[in-house]
Amino acid sequence: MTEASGFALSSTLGLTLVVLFGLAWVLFGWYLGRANKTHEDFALAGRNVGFALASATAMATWVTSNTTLVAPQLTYQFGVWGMVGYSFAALGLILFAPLAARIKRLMPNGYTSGDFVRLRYGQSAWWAFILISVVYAFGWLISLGMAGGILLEALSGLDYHIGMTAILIICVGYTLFGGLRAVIATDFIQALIIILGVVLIAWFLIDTVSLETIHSEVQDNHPQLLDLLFPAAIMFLFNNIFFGLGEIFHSNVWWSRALAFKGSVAFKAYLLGGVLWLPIPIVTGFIALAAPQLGIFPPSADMVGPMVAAEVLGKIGAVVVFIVVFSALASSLDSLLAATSDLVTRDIYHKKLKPDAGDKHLLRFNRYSILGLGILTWLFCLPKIATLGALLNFAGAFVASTIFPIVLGLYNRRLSGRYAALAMTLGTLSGLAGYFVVGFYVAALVSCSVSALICGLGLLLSKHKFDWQQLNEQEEHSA
Amino acid sequence: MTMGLTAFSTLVLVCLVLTACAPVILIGLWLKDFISKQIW
Amino acid sequence: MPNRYGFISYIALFLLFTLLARPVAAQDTMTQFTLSAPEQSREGYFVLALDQAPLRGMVVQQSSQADFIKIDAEFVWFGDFEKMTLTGFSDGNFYFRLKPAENVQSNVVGVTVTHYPSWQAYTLFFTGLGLFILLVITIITLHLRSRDTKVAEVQDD
Repeated sequence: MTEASGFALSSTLGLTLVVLFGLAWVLFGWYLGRANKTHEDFALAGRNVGFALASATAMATWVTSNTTLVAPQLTYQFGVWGMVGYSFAALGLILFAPLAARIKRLMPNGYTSGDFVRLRYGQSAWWAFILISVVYAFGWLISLGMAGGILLEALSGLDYHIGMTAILIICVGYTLFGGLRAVIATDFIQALIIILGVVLIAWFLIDTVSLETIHSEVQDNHPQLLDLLFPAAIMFLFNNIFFGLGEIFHSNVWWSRALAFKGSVAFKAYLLGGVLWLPIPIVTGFIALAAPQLGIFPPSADMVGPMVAAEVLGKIGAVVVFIVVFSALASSLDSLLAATSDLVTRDIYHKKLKPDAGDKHLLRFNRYSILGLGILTWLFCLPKIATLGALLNFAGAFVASTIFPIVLGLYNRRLSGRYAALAMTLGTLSGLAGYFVVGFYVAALVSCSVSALICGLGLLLSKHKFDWQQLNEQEEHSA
Repeated sequence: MTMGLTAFSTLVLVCLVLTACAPVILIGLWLKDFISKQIW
Repeated sequence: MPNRYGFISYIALFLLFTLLARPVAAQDTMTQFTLSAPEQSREGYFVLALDQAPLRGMVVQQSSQADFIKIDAEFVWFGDFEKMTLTGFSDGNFYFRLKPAENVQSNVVGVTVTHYPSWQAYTLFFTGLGLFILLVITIITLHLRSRDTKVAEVQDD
């Protein structure tokens, strides 16, 4: 703490950093966007992204509020299991690697995950899927917007609404100008900033406080945090893993990347992205265990990471934390804006409302939907509703129900649309029932179990034989 | 069952080293793509 | 696409409005604080909340008895937040109050920590593990099979 107010940065410095970074990203987005000639360029970066950018974008997008705010939060709440459990979310990226290769092979001309569900399973499953996607996308968009506000508030005492507004304006700005190309290129730079910053903070913390002191303080005064049999943490573990798998398997954020990556790059990129991501939650998480030692007891657990780093490293540290978390939030927010607007443009506007829309028309509509999504998110973020974790766990009930329908749909011809729709609907409903009757820690688990059961039944009872060729849909319109 | 100091330090330090390797790998891959004109 | 210059000036205006809307920080100092906390915690962490902005250097005391004969721990209130999250508690009853001083007084709040029973934790853990193994085996088997059979009707890049 260097300021009399108790905040690591002054409000002016916080705001200056936001404006400088904002301008840099928006200019960069505009520069990259000049290469976009068609809607395919804008939405899928010309379907030709190389290995380096592909791996970095997979990693950087998954480094989000999850790793920079929620990993320390869970470590503060659940101790060692909190951070180890969180790092298992890398399994989502790793297990998606084979699926990504398969997606690229089955749908060389596809645009979105909605395309797949519509062509593979038909209308009823598509409706269930779109509903799940929309709930999830908004849950995540809102939690990211809120995280921006919380970050600025924690570090500089600046009002929540300013941070939230600023990060939304910046991300909408450069995604609007540059499309997926800007999203992926900024992700590469953001990935480097995030990793270097995280390593720097962890290194300084170990150097100043030492792992021995952290361990002995926690052991003496908060022993539960080092307990490897911590009941709540053990219960939370697989629910969290299934939530992460559901997020990645269903979301167009990851599908549009798989489709945008060059030929055989998809498999390698997701695998490497996952492996690079694996240790990061532990590096960001363990710093929360230094909080009691430093006398930091945060107002809400999701603020503990930035507060510890800022306390240990002073003003420079606070600037580093600020840049790292801001990059992490931006690298996810931009991806989500781009992927969700693709879903709105392709699945709802083009396929349902205006099938004869031309390429220029779709490109323009895609930009309007990015802007619209930004404004909607801003409105939802205005009242600061729940803590980040609670909001995200609620979405767990929705996304986990898509895991088995997606996996089986990609590889197995027998599962029919009726069973897939039923699996997603009943999975989601029972997940929600679990959330409200038992607790947040069973939502994704129940949802995935029920959906798996229905898919299993579907495989046994269905006589359906899907023709893979139907997935390779040809475009009706000319550019 | 409590996590001991050795296990705790090893876990954190190994993860720190692995994380620190990531930028080297990413920049190396970028250079390779750049030289062979495979970035986009 | 919207007009670029119009868009930029809207962004600037937007930021300005939000800046002007900043609430003014409360400066009042009161002596009687009302402390609140959940009665129960199943995870060993919980949030203590004040009814108003804290004073500088205020201290929270923790005891296992409601009359605070023995103080088990003290936590300095951090920053000017109205909430404080405490963590890492084992099963038991814990009482909290603000350390009485010239200008500070508060009520006593009690929190009972009861962790989830082991059977519940392990049931969920092993259910999750089983389902996870099933998923991993499914993905690996299906992927290997799809590679081996080289689906003829799917075009390769």
